[in-house]
Parts: sequence; C-alpha cells; structure tokens
Amino acid sequence: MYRVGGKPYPTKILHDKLYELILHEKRLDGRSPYESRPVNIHTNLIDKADGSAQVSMGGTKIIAGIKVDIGSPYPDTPNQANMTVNAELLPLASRTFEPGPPDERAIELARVVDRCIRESKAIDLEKLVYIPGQKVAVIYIDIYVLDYDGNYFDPSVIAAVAALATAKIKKYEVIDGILKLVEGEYTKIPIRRLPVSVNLGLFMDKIIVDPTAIEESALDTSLIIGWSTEDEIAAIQKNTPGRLPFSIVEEAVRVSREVSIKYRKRLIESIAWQLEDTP
Amino acid sequence: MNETVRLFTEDGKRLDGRSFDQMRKVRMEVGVLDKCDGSAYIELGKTKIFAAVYGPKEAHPRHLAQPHRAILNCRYHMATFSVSDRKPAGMTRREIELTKVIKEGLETLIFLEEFPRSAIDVFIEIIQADAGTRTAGITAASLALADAGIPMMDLCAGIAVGKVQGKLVLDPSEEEDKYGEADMPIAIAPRINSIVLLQLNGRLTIDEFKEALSLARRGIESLYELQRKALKNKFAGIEEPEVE
Amino acid sequence: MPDYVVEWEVVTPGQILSDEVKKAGSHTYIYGGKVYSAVTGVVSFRTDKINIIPAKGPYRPQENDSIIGIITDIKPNMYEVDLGWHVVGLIKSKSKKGRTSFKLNIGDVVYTTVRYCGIRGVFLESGDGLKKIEKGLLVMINPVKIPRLIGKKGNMLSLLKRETECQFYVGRNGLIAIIGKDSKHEFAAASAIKLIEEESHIKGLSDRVSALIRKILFSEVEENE
Repeated sequence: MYRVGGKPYPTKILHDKLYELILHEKRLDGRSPYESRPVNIHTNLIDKADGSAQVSMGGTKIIAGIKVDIGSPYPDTPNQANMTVNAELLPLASRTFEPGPPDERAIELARVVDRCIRESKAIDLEKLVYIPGQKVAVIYIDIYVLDYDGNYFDPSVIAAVAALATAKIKKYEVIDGILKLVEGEYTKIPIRRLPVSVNLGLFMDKIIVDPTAIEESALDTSLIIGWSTEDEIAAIQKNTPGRLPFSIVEEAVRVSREVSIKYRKRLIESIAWQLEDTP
Repeated sequence: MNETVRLFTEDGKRLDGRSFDQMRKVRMEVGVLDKCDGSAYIELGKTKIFAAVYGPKEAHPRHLAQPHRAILNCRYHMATFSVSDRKPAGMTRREIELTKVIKEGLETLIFLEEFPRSAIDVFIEIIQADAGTRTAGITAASLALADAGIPMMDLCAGIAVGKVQGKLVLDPSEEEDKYGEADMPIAIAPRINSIVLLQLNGRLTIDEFKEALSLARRGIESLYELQRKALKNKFAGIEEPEVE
Repeated sequence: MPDYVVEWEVVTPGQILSDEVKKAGSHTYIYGGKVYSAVTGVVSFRTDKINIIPAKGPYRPQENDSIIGIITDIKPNMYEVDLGWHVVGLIKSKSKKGRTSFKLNIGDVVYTTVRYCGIRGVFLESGDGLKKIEKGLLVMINPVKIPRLIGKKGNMLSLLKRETECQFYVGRNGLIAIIGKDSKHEFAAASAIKLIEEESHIKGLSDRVSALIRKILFSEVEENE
C-alpha cells in the first residue's frame, strides 16, 4: 500500500500549521489569506537604461531595466517590433540561487512575464516599426531578482510594465528610406494596457495570495494568473508540482481578479499612467 | 492581426472538417521501445511523440539523491527536423520551460517516496510537431511510467483548448494555434479530479476560461479511455499467475 | 460495501478498487476514503485484501529476500553491492560476528539475503549466508516475474533443474545465476528463463519450457549423428 502526499517531516508540520492558520483567516506575517503584501514602485532609477523600475513586495525585490535597439524584424512578423524578456535569479537574492546561466526557474519567470506582456498586447508593437520588414525597434526587458521572499512573479510583471510605461526611448525618423536619429529628442513606448499577474498558493482546499518563501516551501501547489484587463485573463502557469483540484479553479480566478485590480490601481498611481498619453 | 485568414468554413466546421469539440485522430501504443523500462508512442494528428522511462535507478550525480524520495528527471525535446524550419540542436528556452511544467505535472502523480535515494528518468522526444506537443507529450509520458510499473496515483492526459476567431475549439491545429487568440494546454488526472498541468497563452474572459476547462475535461475523458485501452492491450492475456 | 473489481481483472493506475479502506493491499493506495490501484496489473484477493500483482515493475527490497548482487565499491568497513534497479546494498566487512570469511573484490558476484532495509539503507547478510559465485551465467529478468520462475511450490524451478541439470541461484531482485556442467546447458537454461519472462501469462508454460530446453540440448547432438 502506498501513502498519498508524503512530505518530509519538518515540512509536514509547517504545512499543517499554516493550513490551520488559514482556517482561522490568518497567516504567519499577519496577513489574511487573500491579502497581498504592499507594493512599492520606484521608476527611472537607472539613468543609463531607457527605462527602469524597482519593485518591492515585502521581502521580495525586483529590478527591471529596458533597453531599446534597432534591429530587423522576425520574418513572420515584418510589421512588428521585437520584444525579448530575460530574467535572472541573482545569487544575492537567496542561498538557493546559484551563479551561472539561467536555470529552469529563471527561464520560466522570463517566459511568464513575456507571456503576460505579449499576450495582453500591452505594447503597441506595430507603432515601433520604422521601415516595415527592415528596421524595427528591439525591446529588451531584463529582470533581476535582488531579494527573494517568495513570489517573484507579481513584482516582476509590475516592474517590467512600470519600466516600459515610464521608458524614454530615442526618437528616429525616416528620411528618403534611411533611418536617422533625432538628436536630443525622446519618445515613449506606446502602451495599450497594463497587465499584472497574481501568484496564488494552495493549501489543501484553501487559497492564499502572494505567498512568502516559507509558505512556498510548504504549499501544495501554486498558480499564476496574468490579467490583461479587469475581465480578461492573458496568461496562466501552474508553476509547482501538486494537484490542483477542479473545484478550486473558479475561486482562484475570482480571488486573483480582485487582487489584480488592486495591483493595477497601485501601478497606475505610482507611474501616473494615463491612457490619453498613448492613444 | 491577420484578418484575412479564414479558419472556419461557411457551415461552421473547422478547416480540417472537425467540429469545435472534436480532437484530431489519436493513436497510442505502449511498450514500443526495447531497452528502456517503460515506453509509449502517441500520434495526435500529425504530432508524433515517443516517451521512454528509465528507473528507478541510482541517482547521478550522487549528491542530488534525496534520502526520503526519488528525484524525477525529465526532458522534453524536439527533434531538429520536427518543425518546418530546422530547430537548433540543444535545449531552447521553450523546451526548458515545458520540461519544467511536464516534470511537475508527472511528479504530482508518482509515489516518489517509495524509492528513496534513486532517480526516475522520463524522456519525451517530439519527432514531428504539429501543435499540442506538450499535452500529447505528458499523455505519452504517463503511459510510459505506467508501462514501467512505477506506482502512480492516476494516469494523466492532456489536451489544448484554443480560441480561434472568437470561438473556443478543442485541440487546435497548427494553423489555428498560429492565427488564434489563445491556446490553453491542460493536463488532468481524471480519477482524482485534479489538474496537473495548466498554462494559458492568450486572452480569455472568465466565462470563456470556464467553458474551456469543461471542453478540455470532455476531451481528456476520451483520451483517458484510450490510454487505459492501450495499457490493457499490452498486458492482455494475463491469466491466473502461478505464485510459488 | 461493493468492490469494483473481480479476481484476475486487469486494472490500470487510478482505477477504483473498493469503498472499504481496510481492503487496501499491495500496490494500492487510499485517497478520499476509497481504495485505488497504483499500477497496471491483475487483481488478486488474498487475506481479505485487494492486492494488485503488477505486470512489470522495479525491485523493492524486503527483509529476508534472497538476492544476487555485484560488488561495486569497497569502503573501509563496508562493501557496496549493486542490486540492479536503484538499490545499493551494503555488506559489513567487519561485524560483531567476526569478519567476512573471504575477501571480496570489485566485480565479484555474491548471493545473500537482505537483513535490514529502511531509512539507513539496505544491509545484507555478511555471515554464513553470504556466498560468492565464482562461475556460471548471470541473467536478469524483471523482478515481478521471479515468482513465476519459481512457480507453485517451486514447480517451475525444479523443472528447470531437472531438464538442464544446472544449479540455480535466484535473486528476488531479478538476477539469476546459472551454474551448469557446460555452457550449452547454461545457455539452454537462460533461454528457458527468457521464455518464462516473456510468456508467463500464456497457458501451458511448463510444456513449452521443456520443449525449448530439449530442442537446444539435443538438436546439436542429432546433427552430429
């Protein structure tokens, strides 16, 4: 006979204790299950980058930088600018992160952030085409996890979007089919909407929002839901092993929607974003 | 973007003649490879995948071994010739991410605590890719694990749901995936009623998401029956064993 | 209190077996108050429990199992023995009962029993029960087929012994050492073991095994004559 859900002993105690707390609507750091940590956003702190943002949520700190270059478009999208997202889990951030090329966690983070931004069509990539089929903008979004206390997904998406929305990029004009830099003038990256992601943790049949590192070490499974707008899901990733019961999915969507609205409100406040800026 | 592409015929059928809730032709076979401990082959339309399982065996390097459970090594890999343009050799970032989600999906189901200090290897090789490779891959991998006799809670089967020109379709084809608005791969262990793999690329409203889940669920039930049939076929004819 | 399966039914992982938790036997698990199968295999009701006999599967060491292993490493007071699969057995070279009576080298094949298996590892008998196999042919089959190789009350194994005139050391981990008077007899025995592994589920196995052995042993003789 096999035993279901075996966990190493210390983790089992922690798991049971956290679950007990959640049943009483409490968590170790005093939050309620559906409460996220306060989000702090600083933008444009790196002058050399075209755009940058540092976001902290509790003990998790993320810095995101934007660099924009000129390059040729991909053959299958001649009328779109390119965008690539890269992420690194710096060894500064946790003793479990090691130097070296990005591991599967870092690649997953990069691809989830990429998906949130790309699939929600947050950037108007058509507007950054200078000469169709030949010269387009190439947007590099680089994300570094500086400090890790659980949930590096939500602040990474917020940091990337905040950096994009506040970036000032060089202005180019096309004269006689030749691309020329307009000295001293800058333009913005056209942003259509502000995607955010919400990381949810599951303890048996209970959901928590924005898990900390301790909670992440004990939870049964977790899920990231990216929202392009209030009513539209743009990305989902189940990012840890474990069973995700069917019955809990609808609740997860409902909870994450509320949190996403809160995140987006905070984001808009801190970057003073207005839709009119970029019609 | 590409509004000129038509993905539905006039009578509402899909280009390959399927209805919205119909998946492509599926073929599964168990025990197709000789040297490994368990193997499976799956065809989903033109997608062709082999999966092989080795182990439990000694974990290498030894410091990776866990004293209380087995570790699961997994590799989702596409052959260079499996896609229209030659895929560069080695693991791309996409493959590394899919390896991670597939590994975590399978890890959920296996009783890893039964084999302390050991490793179980799962290799998924896509020899032809035509949409739906990660879900067909996890379907084949769970069959290969069952073939190897590794104890697990349930088999799992996966399928993708796409949104194409405003309509939800089961098991999108490559065309539908390319020009569609959303693609949601999902793998479910039906008997324990749990999702083991879930991703979404693209935009869905909340209602569409719920509908997509139930559409996938129906598709997976029929895949699951095929899986069981494939396993039973392999072991058919087992009669009263002569036990000492 | 229904059971959902009947004896000798082929089941797959995740298939529900019973509503009664008490009936959970080998290769089953309990989830949500119900009993499910964890492997592909056939159902067997024994001692009021539902057991699944797996069709194929890895070796899981149990105390008092006879095993065959190969020495892979020598530590100051320990021999490491590869039992195939994931299992590494340990033989203490110096125990309270005195040291092992003979020296072992890397690559040596030993026949012994499992004394302890648990969180500390798998410890093997190091005293009189330890036997070094100096010659013969080593074959490996899937461990779940070992009961079939032995047969009811040892029938199949005695048949093999009788027909091939070989000596057999059968390890529960799937390794079998065959020691015969010449390589031809050993080869006949190995072929018969492969046949048992592959066709154990088809009726009339004993007859086919004898036929195969005789064919191998006497065909060449006939040709010579």
